[in-house]
Amino acid sequence: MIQDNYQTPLAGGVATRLPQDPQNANICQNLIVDKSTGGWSTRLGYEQFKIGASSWSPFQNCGPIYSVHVAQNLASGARQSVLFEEGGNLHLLYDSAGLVQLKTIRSGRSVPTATESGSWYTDTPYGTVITNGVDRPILVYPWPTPQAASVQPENLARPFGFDGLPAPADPFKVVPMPLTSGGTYDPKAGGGAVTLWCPSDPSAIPSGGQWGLGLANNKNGSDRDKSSIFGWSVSFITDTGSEGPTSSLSSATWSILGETSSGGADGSEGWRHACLLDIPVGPDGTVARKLYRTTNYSDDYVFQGDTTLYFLDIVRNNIDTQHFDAIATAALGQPAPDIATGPLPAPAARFSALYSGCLFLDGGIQDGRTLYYSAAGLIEQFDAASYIELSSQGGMITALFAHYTDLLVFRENGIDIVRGSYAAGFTVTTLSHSVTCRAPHSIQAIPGLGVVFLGQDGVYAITGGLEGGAVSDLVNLTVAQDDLIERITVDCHPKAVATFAAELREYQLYVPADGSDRPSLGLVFHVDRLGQADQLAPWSTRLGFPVGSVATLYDGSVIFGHNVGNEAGGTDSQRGLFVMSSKRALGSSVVGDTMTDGPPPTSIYRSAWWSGGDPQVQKQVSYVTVWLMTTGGPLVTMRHYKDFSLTPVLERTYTAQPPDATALPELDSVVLGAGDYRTERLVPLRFSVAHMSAAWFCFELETTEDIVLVGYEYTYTTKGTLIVQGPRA
Amino acid sequence: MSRINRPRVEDGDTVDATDLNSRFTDYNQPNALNAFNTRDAAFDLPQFENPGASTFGFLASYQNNAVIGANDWKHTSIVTVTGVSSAPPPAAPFIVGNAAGAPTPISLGAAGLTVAAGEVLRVYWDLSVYPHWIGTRPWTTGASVDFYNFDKGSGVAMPVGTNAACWVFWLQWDITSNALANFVEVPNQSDFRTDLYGDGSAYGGQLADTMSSSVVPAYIDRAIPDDGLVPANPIQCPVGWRGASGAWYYPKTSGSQTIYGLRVVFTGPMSPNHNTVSGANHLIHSVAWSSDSRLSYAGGSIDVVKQRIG
Amino acid sequence: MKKWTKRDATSKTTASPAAVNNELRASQSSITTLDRDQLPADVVDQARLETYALHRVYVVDKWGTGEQTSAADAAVLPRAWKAATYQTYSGGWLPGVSGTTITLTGFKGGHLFLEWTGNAYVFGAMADGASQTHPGTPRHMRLRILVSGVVLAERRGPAYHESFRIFGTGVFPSGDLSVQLQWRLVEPGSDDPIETNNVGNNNVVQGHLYSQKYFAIGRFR
Repeated sequence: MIQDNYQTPLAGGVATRLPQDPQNANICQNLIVDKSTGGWSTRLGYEQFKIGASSWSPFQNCGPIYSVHVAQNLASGARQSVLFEEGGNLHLLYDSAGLVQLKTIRSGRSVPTATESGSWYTDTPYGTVITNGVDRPILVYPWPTPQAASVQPENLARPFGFDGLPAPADPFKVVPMPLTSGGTYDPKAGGGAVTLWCPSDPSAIPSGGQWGLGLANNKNGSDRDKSSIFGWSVSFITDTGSEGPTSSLSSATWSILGETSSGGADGSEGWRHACLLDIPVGPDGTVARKLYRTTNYSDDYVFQGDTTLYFLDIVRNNIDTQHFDAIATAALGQPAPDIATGPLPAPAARFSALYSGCLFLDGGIQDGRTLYYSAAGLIEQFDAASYIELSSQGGMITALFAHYTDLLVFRENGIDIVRGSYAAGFTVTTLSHSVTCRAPHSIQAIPGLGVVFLGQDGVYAITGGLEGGAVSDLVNLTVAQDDLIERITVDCHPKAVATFAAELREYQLYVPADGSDRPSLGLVFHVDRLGQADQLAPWSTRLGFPVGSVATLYDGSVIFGHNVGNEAGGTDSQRGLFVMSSKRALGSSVVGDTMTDGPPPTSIYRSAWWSGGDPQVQKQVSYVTVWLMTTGGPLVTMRHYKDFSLTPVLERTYTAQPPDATALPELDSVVLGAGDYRTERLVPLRFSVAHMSAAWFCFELETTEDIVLVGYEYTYTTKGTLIVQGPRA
Repeated sequence: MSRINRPRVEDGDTVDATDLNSRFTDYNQPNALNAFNTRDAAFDLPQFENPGASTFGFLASYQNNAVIGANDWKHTSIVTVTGVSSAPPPAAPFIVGNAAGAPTPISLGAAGLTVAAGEVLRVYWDLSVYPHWIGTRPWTTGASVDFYNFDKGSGVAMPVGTNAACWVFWLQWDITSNALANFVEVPNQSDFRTDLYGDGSAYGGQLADTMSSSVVPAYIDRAIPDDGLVPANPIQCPVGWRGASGAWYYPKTSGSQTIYGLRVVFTGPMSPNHNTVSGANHLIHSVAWSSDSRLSYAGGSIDVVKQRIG
Repeated sequence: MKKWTKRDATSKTTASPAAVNNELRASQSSITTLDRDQLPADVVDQARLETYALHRVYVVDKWGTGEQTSAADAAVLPRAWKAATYQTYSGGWLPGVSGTTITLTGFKGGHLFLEWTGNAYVFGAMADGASQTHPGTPRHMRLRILVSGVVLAERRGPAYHESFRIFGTGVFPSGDLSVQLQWRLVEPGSDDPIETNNVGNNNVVQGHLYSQKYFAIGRFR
C-alpha cells in the first residue's frame, strides 16, 4: 500500500485558532528553544537566588513580591542593585561579600490591589525614581552600603522633588549707627538685632566703600529719616543639580537719622550696614542653598516698590544656619533664574520616564490625563507651565515608555506619542485609538521587533518609527492565540508582568489567568522562531512558575519574585527571589527540615490538529515519527488523539537513543575510561499507531525528563472515505 | 590561579577519569585566586579589612584627640607665664596644662601607638593664646635685640621694634612608657637650650631644627614712616587673644616606633639671630626684656591620626 | 560574576560533551570574573593590596632645611636673619625652598589634598606711611599652591611672625604632578626706610619662611 507522508521539519509553537496550521501545536508548555538545534528543549526550571541555600533566609518573612527591579549603578554590571517590594516594604537585596541580606529601605508603603500594578521604577543618573500612585515618589541610590547593620538603610533613599516653598530667610533687625556727633555708639546685639557697620568712605578701611547695604548719607536730611528696605529669598539645590522654588520674600528695614534741626547738616553719614540672616536648612538631598535679594526698594530710593530678586550668593552646604550679607547693590548678580521651578507637581505620580533628558511624570489616579515634565538634565526641577494636557479621548495614562526617538504614552483607550525636546517644546500625536494597554509592566523593547505589550485583546508590537521614511505599525502578535488571551482575568491586566530574556531570546509574559488575581500563566514569545519560518507560531506557555514580578540581571538571567510567599502560611513553602535557569526543578521547599529541590516542570508538546488537507476524508495514520536529539535514557512515551477526543491512546515507550545504532553512553552508567563523550544526534523515533480512521489527528509528548524535540512526521494512508454527513436532529 | 586554560570536551573524547579530575582540580590549584580572577570594580566596602578595633578604617588606622590647656572659653581661669630670663634657660620649658598646673598631654593608650614602616603619624594642635607685656615698649631697652634704629630726622636714632620676637610652641613625645614621665623633643626639633656660640651669649636653636614649632608674635610695634624717616614715636599694638596652631608629620619608611604620649610645650620670648660666619639662622632667648614679657593661654586641642602611606 | 545553573546533569541522560562543557564554562567564567557578590568580606588587607593601589601619601617632614633661601641677604644685623630684604627680594612669587622640585610621582588620577605648613615672618611696622592714604600698605605674605600650573589654594598669609598652614584640594587626571609652593611679600611703600640707621647701614629684613614641610594625599579612582 502506498503511504503518504506529512513532514514537519521544525515543530511550531502554540496556536489555538481553528483550523490550525498543522505544523504548530495545541499545547506547547514549558519548553525553550534549544540553542544548538532550534528544537524544543525541556531543560528549564528555576532555583533560589541564594545558590545552595538551606533555608529561606533572608526571605523567610516575605509575602507576595509585587515589584522587582534591577538597577545598574556601574557600567558592565560591576554593581547591581536588586530592589523589590513585598508587604508594603521596599527592600534592597544586599549581595556583597557573599552575604545575601535584605536592607529595608522603606516600610509602610501602599500594597497594590488586584487591579493595580506594582511600583514603577525609572533609572536616572542620580538613582532610581520609584512611584506607585499613592506614596510620595522616592529617589533611591543604594550605594555606598557597608555590610554593617548599623548603617541606616533609610538613608539610601530620599523623597523625590521639592515639597513646597522653603521657609523664608529670616533677617535680624538692623540697628543703624548713630549720628556722627552727639550720638552714642551702642551696638545692639542679642534680642534679634545687630549693628554691622560698613564705612562708605573708600579710605576708611581697606576695600572701603565696596560693602554694605542701604543708604549712607542723610547729612542734610531736613525732611525726615531715610529708610532702606531689602528683601531676601532662598531656594534649595539638591544632589540632582535641580533648584527648587524660592521662598516667599522676607524683608528688613532700617532708617538713618536726618538733621536734628533744620539746616543743622548733622544727619547720619558715613555708614552702610550689613545684615545677618537666619537661613533654613533643606531636607534630605539638599547640597546647597541659593540666596536672592532685592535692591533697596524703599520710597527714599529710586527703585521704589521694585521687589525684583537678584542672585546674591550660594551657601555650599546644608549646615550653616546663618549668613552675613554685606554685598552692595552694585555687586549683585543676575536676576533670579529664567527656569522657573516649583514644588513637585505630581506627588502621587504612578509612572515616570526619562525622555529627551527630561523626567516625565503622570499626574496620578486623580489627574490621569496630565503629563508633567522637568527641565532638561534637572530631573527635580518642574516649571508650573511644563505640562501636557492630553486629549479627553483616550482615557487616563496607564504607562510611559521611552523608546527610540519617542515617548510612548499608553492610555486606557489608546496610545499617544510625545516627541520633541525641552528647548523646542513637546508635541503629542495619537498613534492608535483602538488598542489599549492596561498592563504597564508588560511593556518591553524586543530586538528586531519593537515595543511589545499586552493589550486588552492580545499582545501587540509597535514596529518601525516615525523618523525619515520609516513606517510605524501596530501588529497583533497573538491573532492565532486568542484563546489564551481570553483566559486572562480581565480586571487584573495591571498585574501582568514581562521581561525580555536576552540569553534565551524570549519575551516572557506572565498573566493572571482563569480568575486568578496574580500571574499564573506564562506566555513566551520566542524571537528565534520569527526568523526560522514565517508560518510557525512563535508562542509557548509556562505553567508552574510562580512569578509575581520579573526583571533581568546584567548577564541576562531572569530574576523573579514569588507571587505567594508566606501568604501560604507556615515556614516551609517557597518565598523570596528566584532565578530562571537550566536547573531541572521548580525551585525548592523545606521538606522535613531539609531544603529539597522541587520536581522538574512538566513539559508537554501536543501537535496541532492535522487533517491531511481535507478534514472530511478519513485517514489512517500508521506511524508517527518524532525527530529528537538523543538525550539518552529519558523515556519518550508518545500518545495520540483523534477527532478532538479527550482520551488519548498510549503507545510504546522508547528511550531517546539511536534506534539503529549502539546506544550512546549515559551518565550514571558510563564507565570512566571506557565510554566516550558523544554529542546528541538527531534521530527519528518511529511509533506505530493503531487506531481506526480519523478525520483529525494529533500526538502528544508529556515528560519531566530531558527531551529535545525538533520535528515530526506522519505516515498515513487514506481510502478516500468521507465522514458522515451530519447528526440527525 | 588566574586562568583556567583547558580545551572543551569534544565529541568522541573518552569519558576519562583523569580528564574529569583535571578539570575539577583546575579550580583547586595552590595559591588559587589572584588578581587576575577579579573583575573591574569588584571591591566594595565590605571587602576592605579594618585593622584592629572596628571603629577605624582601612586607610586611617588610628585617630585620637584630647583637650589641652585650661579649657575655659570665658578666659576666667587662664594660665599666665613670665618670659624666660635666665641664661642658660631652665631645663624644662613651659608645659601646656590646666589652670591647676597639671600638664595636659595626650595619651596614646596603655600599650602606646606603634608607627610601623609604611605609616605616617599626623599631629595637629591648637591653643588660644594671649601674648602681652607690662610697661611701654620694653623691647626697646638698650640691651634688647628686638629693635632697629631708624632715622628720626637729622640723624637722631628712632628705635622701632623688629616685630620678630615670638613665643615658640613645639611638641614633645614619650617613647619609654605610658607613665608619661619621660618626655623629650620629637625628631627634628630643638629644645632651644643650645649654647650657640659656645660663650653663653646666645641660647636657642637653629631654624633648621624647628620642624614641629609654631610661633606667635610677642608684641606688635607700629611706626608712621615719612619719606624714609620715622619722625614720630612708634605705637605699641596689643596682640590680643589669637589662635596658635601647629602641624607635624612623622613618616616611617623602615623600622617602627612606639609612642606613648605627646604634649605641647613652649618658651619665649625668642628673637632672630644669625651667625655672620656660617650664615646659619637661629632663634635665641631674648633675655633683655623678657621679665616684662607675658604669655597667657586658655584651652585648645590636639588631634592625632595615623594612616597608611600607600 | 555569579552564575546559576546552565546545564543540570540529570540521571540517565547522554554523556554528551555539552553536559560537561556548558556548566564548566559558566563556572569558569564565574571564577575568572569574581565580583563583589562573590568575594568574601575583609579579604583585602595590606598584604593583598599593591602599594599605592587606592591612595598615596606624599610627605616631606622637612623640606630642604625648612628655610627659604631664594632671597637671603647677609648684609643684615646679627639680630636679624639672613633673609629677604628690599635689596635682595626681586618681587613676584618665589618658591618656599629653592633648588628643589616637588613632583608627586605615580598619581593615578583622582582627588588630591595638599597642605603646606611652617612659620613665617613679615616686618609690618611700616604699614602706615605718612603719604599713603588709607588703607596704606598693610604688610603680609601671600601664599599659594600650584599643582600642574593650576591654583590649588591661594590666600593672604601671615602678617606678623606666626605659623601658617595652607591647604587645598582638587581633582586631577593621572600622571606625575608638579607642585609649586610659593610665597610673595607686599613690597615696602614709598615712605619706608629700608636700611637701619646704624653704622654700616644694614638692610632691613622684610620677610622669611622656615620650618617648612608639606603633606599630600592622592585618593585614586
